[in-house]
Amino acid sequence: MLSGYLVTVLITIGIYVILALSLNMITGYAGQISLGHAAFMGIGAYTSALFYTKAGFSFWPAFLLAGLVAGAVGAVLAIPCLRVREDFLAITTMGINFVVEATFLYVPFFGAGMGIGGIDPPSLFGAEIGKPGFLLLVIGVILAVIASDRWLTRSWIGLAWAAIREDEGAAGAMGIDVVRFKVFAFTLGSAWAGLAGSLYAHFLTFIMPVNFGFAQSIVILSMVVFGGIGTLRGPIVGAIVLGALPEISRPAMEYRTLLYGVLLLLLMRYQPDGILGERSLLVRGWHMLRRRAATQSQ
Amino acid sequence: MALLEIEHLTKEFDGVTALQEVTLQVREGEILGVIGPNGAGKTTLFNCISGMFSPDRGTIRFRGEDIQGRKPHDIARRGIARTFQIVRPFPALSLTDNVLVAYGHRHYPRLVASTGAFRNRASLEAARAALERVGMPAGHERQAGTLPLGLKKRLEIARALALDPSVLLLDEPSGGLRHEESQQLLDLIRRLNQEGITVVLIEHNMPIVMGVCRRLVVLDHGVQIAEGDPATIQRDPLVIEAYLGKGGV
Repeated sequence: MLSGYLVTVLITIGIYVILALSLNMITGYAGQISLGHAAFMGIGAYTSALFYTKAGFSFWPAFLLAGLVAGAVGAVLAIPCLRVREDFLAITTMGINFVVEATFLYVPFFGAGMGIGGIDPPSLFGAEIGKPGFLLLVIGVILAVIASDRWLTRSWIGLAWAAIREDEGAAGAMGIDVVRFKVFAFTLGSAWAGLAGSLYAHFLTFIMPVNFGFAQSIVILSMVVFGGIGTLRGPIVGAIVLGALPEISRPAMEYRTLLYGVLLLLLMRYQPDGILGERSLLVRGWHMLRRRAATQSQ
Repeated sequence: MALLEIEHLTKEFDGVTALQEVTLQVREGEILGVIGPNGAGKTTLFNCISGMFSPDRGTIRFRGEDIQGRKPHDIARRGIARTFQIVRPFPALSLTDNVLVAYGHRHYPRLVASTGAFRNRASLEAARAALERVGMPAGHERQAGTLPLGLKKRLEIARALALDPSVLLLDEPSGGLRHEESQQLLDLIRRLNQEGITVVLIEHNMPIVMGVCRRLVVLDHGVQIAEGDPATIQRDPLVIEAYLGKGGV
């Protein structure tokens, strides 16, 4: 059977998979850079924590509300983001992250520096679901994200996002309401991040503002970029590899931010599509092997 | 009532008047040529009509309805499609997907309708038909970015056609094309016009302009200096001066 430690690692990785996939919708599919994704994780976490600890809601409604609130805030905050492009969008999203973190840190209602504790794990039919049960819950959410992801990329919404990513102006000339589709990307990505935040809160049982700061946003972005931005497999693999890294090498944890920064630099220089991106070494090697196998069997 | 009525259209950029009190009509079913030296304001005119720019003064009426200042996607959906002077394909998408982006205009306004699969029998057939119509019968799964310029230009037109337009604004479609390609373009424009599409054409290539346009409007420094049939325009002294400068002919 799986040891308790392994289950913990898997749950942590699983939450990051959800976060990476949700960021990929905004940044990978719709092409809108976001350096503040952890803010929505935080909004979801605090929403869930507050509804549970202060309003007496059980986990399940608190969890759903976390997604709804994070999505709604994402929709509202998307509006200032719409008028700026690229570099300025990066700074705007970064700014949003700092403002949200500061709100959690300085407003007493959110527990200020002490954060919120006593966020019990979920129960079903009166009994706590325990760690293995929580892992199943996380896997369930991951499957839901993947299903919605595949549905979206095959839909007109996914096509509109791709057009916006390639050339916003031309997309508008083709009948796409660019503003509306951008807001939708931010809303959806933020909602999933909010759900991940709720899972995070009920798993750790206490949350602090620093958990949802810029550093966390960079961790999530690194996973997306490392694995292959704009693909389905990329963020999943990125989250698994970079999520497992601290467990494999404890000393690396100390220098995590430095390590991720260097990793990103190397990636941008040598494999900008990510290790599993379309034009990466691994994927091209894979295509080459398949072609060779096809010609050899003739 | 003309299909497109433009009155007193004025557009300024930081002190430079790109368009000044331009007034013209586009009649249904015609092929109208818009010519003039570089910097005359021709593309700015298209940008105002297609919604990329909001004019400072003046009105643009399409089928009697004011459209000046509306957003590009709104205007595209009303049936005014445009191509770009410097082609703007979606480079990473296939030719089919490029056309499908435009074909999806009928779905984008409704979120629920937009959740349907975009590659379906009807849409793929429409994309194939649009690409064939512009003379690209094969290779539809290539990435648009890998196309040579001539084919990219045809893709631009195929995309515009997927919008089911009643008016096609073509911005220097023959730019960069060889002679035979320009001839093929000429035939395509004639065919599309015969099928009922009103065409407004910005062109520098005089053989094309004279060969396909029955009426011309001449712009110079943002002002309309002449209007009429090709033969009259060719002899107009103001037009000659605009292109060749003063100093006698």
